[in-house]
Amino acid sequence: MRAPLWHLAWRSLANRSLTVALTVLAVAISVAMLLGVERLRQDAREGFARTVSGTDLIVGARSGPVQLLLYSIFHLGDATNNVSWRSLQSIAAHPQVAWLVPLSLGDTHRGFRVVGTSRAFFEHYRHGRGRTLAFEQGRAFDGVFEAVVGAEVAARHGYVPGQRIVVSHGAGGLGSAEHDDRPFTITGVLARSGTPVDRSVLVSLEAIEAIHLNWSGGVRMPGLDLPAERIERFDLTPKAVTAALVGLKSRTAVFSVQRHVNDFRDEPLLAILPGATLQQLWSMLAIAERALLAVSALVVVAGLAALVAVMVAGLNERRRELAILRALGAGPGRIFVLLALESQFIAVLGCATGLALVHTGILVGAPWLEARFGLELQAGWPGSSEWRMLAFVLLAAAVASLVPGWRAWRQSLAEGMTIRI
Amino acid sequence: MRNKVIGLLLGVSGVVHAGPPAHEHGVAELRIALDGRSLLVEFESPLDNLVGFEHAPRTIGQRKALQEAEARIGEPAGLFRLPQAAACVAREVEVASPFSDADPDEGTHDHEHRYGHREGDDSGHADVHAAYRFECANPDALDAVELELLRVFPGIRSLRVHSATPRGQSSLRFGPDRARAPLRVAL
Repeated sequence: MRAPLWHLAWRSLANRSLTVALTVLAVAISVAMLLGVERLRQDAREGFARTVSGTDLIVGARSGPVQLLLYSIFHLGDATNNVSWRSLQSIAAHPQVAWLVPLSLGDTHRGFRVVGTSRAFFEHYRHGRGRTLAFEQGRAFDGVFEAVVGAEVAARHGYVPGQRIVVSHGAGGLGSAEHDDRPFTITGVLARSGTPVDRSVLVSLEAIEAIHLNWSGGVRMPGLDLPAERIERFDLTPKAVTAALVGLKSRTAVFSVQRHVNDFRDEPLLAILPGATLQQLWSMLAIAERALLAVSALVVVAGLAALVAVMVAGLNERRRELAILRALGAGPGRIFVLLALESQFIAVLGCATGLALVHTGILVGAPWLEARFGLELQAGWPGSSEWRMLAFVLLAAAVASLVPGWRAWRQSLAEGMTIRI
Repeated sequence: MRNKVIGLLLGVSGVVHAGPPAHEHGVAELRIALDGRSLLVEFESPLDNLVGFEHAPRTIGQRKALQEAEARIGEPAGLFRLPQAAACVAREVEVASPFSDADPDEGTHDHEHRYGHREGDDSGHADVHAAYRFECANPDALDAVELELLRVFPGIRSLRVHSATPRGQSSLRFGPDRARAPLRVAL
């Protein structure tokens, strides 16, 4: 009775379990890297796209569209110029503009960005598929010295409504000026949204004006301490803000309002479609992504090379085994198929282990990645591009497994059954 | 004054992607916005892409080429094909082309198109601007746009398509080898 070939291959592998396990691990790690990079790329894109849903246009000072998008929404980089309040009022009065939410950046609280905005932010900001921001505890700010903190800020420092916090001038850090004469009372904690809002402290625009009232040239003026009650009497209308989110009455007006802003007479302004600009950013980053993908593909090649090396090296030790098979009537063709099958087994096992590694990695690392970088990874069934990659790896493995097969075939022809010990 | 404004705008248009686009021969722009049943498509291209010259027509041949190009732009069906299932009907077509005999006065135009004109200026550049308004009975079926204009006008080697639909915004480049613009957000 002849045992089926795959059974023979499997038993032969089981006989050399340690070497095989190590080879499987090498292939698995390379596959995990390839899939991990792809997963990270997709989830990062999705996370970014989720952040800008619901806003038709972003208006800021004229700079690059990608730059404006990054500093206004993602808090990456800095604005080159501000937008005057007067210009914003005029844009808000455009007949097609439904709402306009100003954003004023520049201060921080313990390394988290402080965002000056209006209460309309909570109403109009959308993330994911049109979801609004929800309050985990408390309510939106109302008075001048009230603040709402994002989920991550609250989690890191254990903030609850009622607590008082101090805002630092500028980026904060050692020796930077503190607005400690004007503490803020936390009125609300936002639920986690997976957007940069989680890592922000939200205050009113008036508050941003108020904390800088007795400041000059980036430092507090000595001897000029304004009691909080007197601040309310000042005109706290901002003179300029960093950027604004704009919603339109009809989406079809988006290009004409964009032109209206870009051709603005009084001030060089820029309006961008956030989703479209994000895509431009991705196309700019495509080269870097491709490089990363190429490196992981090379790692897979290295993994498969290790597989071939182990199989070929193993042939010497297995001369006797193969000779016995030949003696039992296995032709050189069958020896070839046996060796190729063994290599393919290892590759399949490696791919499956790699997939499991990626998923375990995501499950273990996701909370940390989200807290640290606001990057939300999703463990889930591999997407179409990941299946394609796996198929590609298996195909490459099939080609690579021909090498040990061919070596064994040649060896068994040349040496036949004469064994020199 | 007008020239100065245009000069200023051209100077920055490399950054301002959907303001007046950089006047770059071989490159044109299509802007698609969908809200409810109403679909707006704007087309903008240097005249050179369409007829091969950018001055007032000097010969009968050039005059004819210009008239033909204008006639084509006036027919949205020949420029881009919308999915049959969406049942879109053109409601309004507006073409602003320089040097045209039929070029209407500045006054009759929506002033949004002012940079589309540089009438009579033989030394400078000239852009053609068109806007099409559709009414779509079944807007959900609008999943892609076939960019016929890349076949009709081989002078357009690269077309940037900006779109804003309920499914999201996008901005992608297309060429003669890839003449189908998806209106779904591709990550």
